[in-house]
Amino acid sequence: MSQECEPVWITGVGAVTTFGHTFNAISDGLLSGRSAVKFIESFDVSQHPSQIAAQVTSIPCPVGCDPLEFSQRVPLAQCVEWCCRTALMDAGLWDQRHELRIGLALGLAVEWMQTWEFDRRHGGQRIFHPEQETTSLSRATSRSLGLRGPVLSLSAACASGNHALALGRQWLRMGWVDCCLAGACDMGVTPLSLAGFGNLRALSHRNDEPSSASRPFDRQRDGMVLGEGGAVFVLESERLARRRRAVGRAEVAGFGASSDAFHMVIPGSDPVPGSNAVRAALNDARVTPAEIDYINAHATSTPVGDASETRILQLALGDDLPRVPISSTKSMTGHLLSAASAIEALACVTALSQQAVPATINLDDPDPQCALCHIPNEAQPRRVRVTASNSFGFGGSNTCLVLRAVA
Amino acid sequence: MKDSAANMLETASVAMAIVAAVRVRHTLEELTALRRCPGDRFEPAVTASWLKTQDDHSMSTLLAVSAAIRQQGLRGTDFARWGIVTANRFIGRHALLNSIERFSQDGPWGASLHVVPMNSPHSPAGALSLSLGSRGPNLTSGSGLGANAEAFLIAASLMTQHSLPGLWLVLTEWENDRDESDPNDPLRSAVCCATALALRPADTVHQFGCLTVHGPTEESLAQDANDFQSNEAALIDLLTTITAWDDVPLGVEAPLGGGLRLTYRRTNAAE
Repeated sequence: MSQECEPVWITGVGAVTTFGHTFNAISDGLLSGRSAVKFIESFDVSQHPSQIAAQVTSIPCPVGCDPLEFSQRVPLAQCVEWCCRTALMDAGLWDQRHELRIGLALGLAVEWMQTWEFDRRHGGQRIFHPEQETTSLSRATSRSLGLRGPVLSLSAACASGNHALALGRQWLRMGWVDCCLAGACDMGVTPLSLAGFGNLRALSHRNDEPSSASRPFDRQRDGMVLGEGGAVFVLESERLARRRRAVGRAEVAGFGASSDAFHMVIPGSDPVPGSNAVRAALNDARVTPAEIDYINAHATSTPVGDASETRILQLALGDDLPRVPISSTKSMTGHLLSAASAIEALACVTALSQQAVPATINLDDPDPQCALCHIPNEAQPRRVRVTASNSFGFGGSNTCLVLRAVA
Repeated sequence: MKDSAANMLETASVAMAIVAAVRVRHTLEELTALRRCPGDRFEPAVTASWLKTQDDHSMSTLLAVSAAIRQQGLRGTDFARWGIVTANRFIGRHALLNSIERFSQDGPWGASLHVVPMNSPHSPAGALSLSLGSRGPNLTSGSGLGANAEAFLIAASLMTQHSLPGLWLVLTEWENDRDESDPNDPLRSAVCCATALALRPADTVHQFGCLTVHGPTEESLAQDANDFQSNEAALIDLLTTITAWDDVPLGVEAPLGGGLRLTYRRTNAAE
């Protein structure tokens, strides 16, 4: 088999969400049907229209890092370090990391915004002196881990994680790396971010019922809820993974991407660009719509977006759509912004490993414009071999990532 | 796992034809004036109302691409399936400063609702996609140091991954940024620069240069100090060579990190 077509496996996962800091804890959370959304207590939200979020309150210091130094880092930097280190350890590659060409592709859409806001809130002046910034988070992480492969961060807004995974797979197929850390992180529940999204009128105002606020596809949905966290995956070729007897959690089977070219924020009414991304991913994975066992939807709980995604899926999957179970885990985790697609890839890995599909919670009254095979409120055991995860970002980015069970 | 050597023998290189290359510079005053009255500076034409909320980096991105389209007679090209990759160094800093100040004075209602959609790293690529009607993938490299090199890695990966007919690669940065010693008008001397490259598959007939991202070798890995600051300097020299249309028969090279290298050579455009 040529390197170009060689299957690429996920052999390690490092992640942080409000459900916990391990793959098992997060998987349990996703299948539990619990909401991670709470009233925000880390800063004054009394003047904010939306006062709720799924906020990560602490990230453990990874083994090998200095606890005091780690605690002083920007939360985003803590998240990245934790996810990358634990992914390598999970894959059993920590001790070999210096011998291999390990690449790093991270979705970090607002690294500098969050860094500068954090610094300014703590009395710093970094925002006034960008000329003194000597490195970036991805490069600093690569250096601290002693990695030798290419490094980049990227942004496609909410679609960042899917793009990072696709790039990592491409690098493996081109022989540029032996394995690759790929994923995305976002610690976006900050005063400015909450205010900005609130002024965009994108957020739910269910402040008195936080756990009920994120309700994708429900007729009573009134906006999204912000969330925090990240997920980073170790990608390597099937051939090398089998050789070292690594456990394959999933195959990165297919990826498709397109742009709406319609509006910077609002999804287009024309479902063709979005459906092109979905169809491209299925074609890349060489699967038919009939073979999809679970779709993790982008569905952010906004009135326009959820209906738009339904139209996209109707066009992409046609007559097969009614039988494909679909859920939005944002109902539980909130919207992790540039880390959303990475966490949702983790949700798909959960579905493949547990043979159960997570639910869309708070789905009490499905919107008729979102007529789909919903998984309302409780996870369901299902045979899952192939999953698809949609992510659509500001700027009109559309992506779909197909994961397949490892044989 | 000791078969890195075997892997490296199979590394791929990605060659891309350059069919347009332009570098533009605009003062903040010029960008402000163009926002109000775009005239015929944009290809395709855009309205003042649409430009009103676009970030300065987005404006520069659009102006550079417009200049490139005119320079090489690309008006009429179907960009519908083209991809877009941008690198926008420290985009959003000015908007964030304003937002922080307004937030401290007026509370949450003072925070700009435009910062996330219009002043964030994804914004210039999204704006260009909208302007050209490009429905291929659009994304941005990290917006800090090393962003330019990252953008070339992304461009090469996308061209092969999606078999794109073309891709716009646009790099923006402030040449003179805020001058904090002038608190009354810190942006008085600010100049926003943008370099736009139109890239097509290597076998494109009408091209004037060839960019190649070379996969790592034993030698390049050993030599790669991952000193991305000096890598950036080499990349800036390479970009200057491209946009100056210098004839470089032996080619120009810049490391991209991880043992990868970018080379440029001028080719003879077919008439």
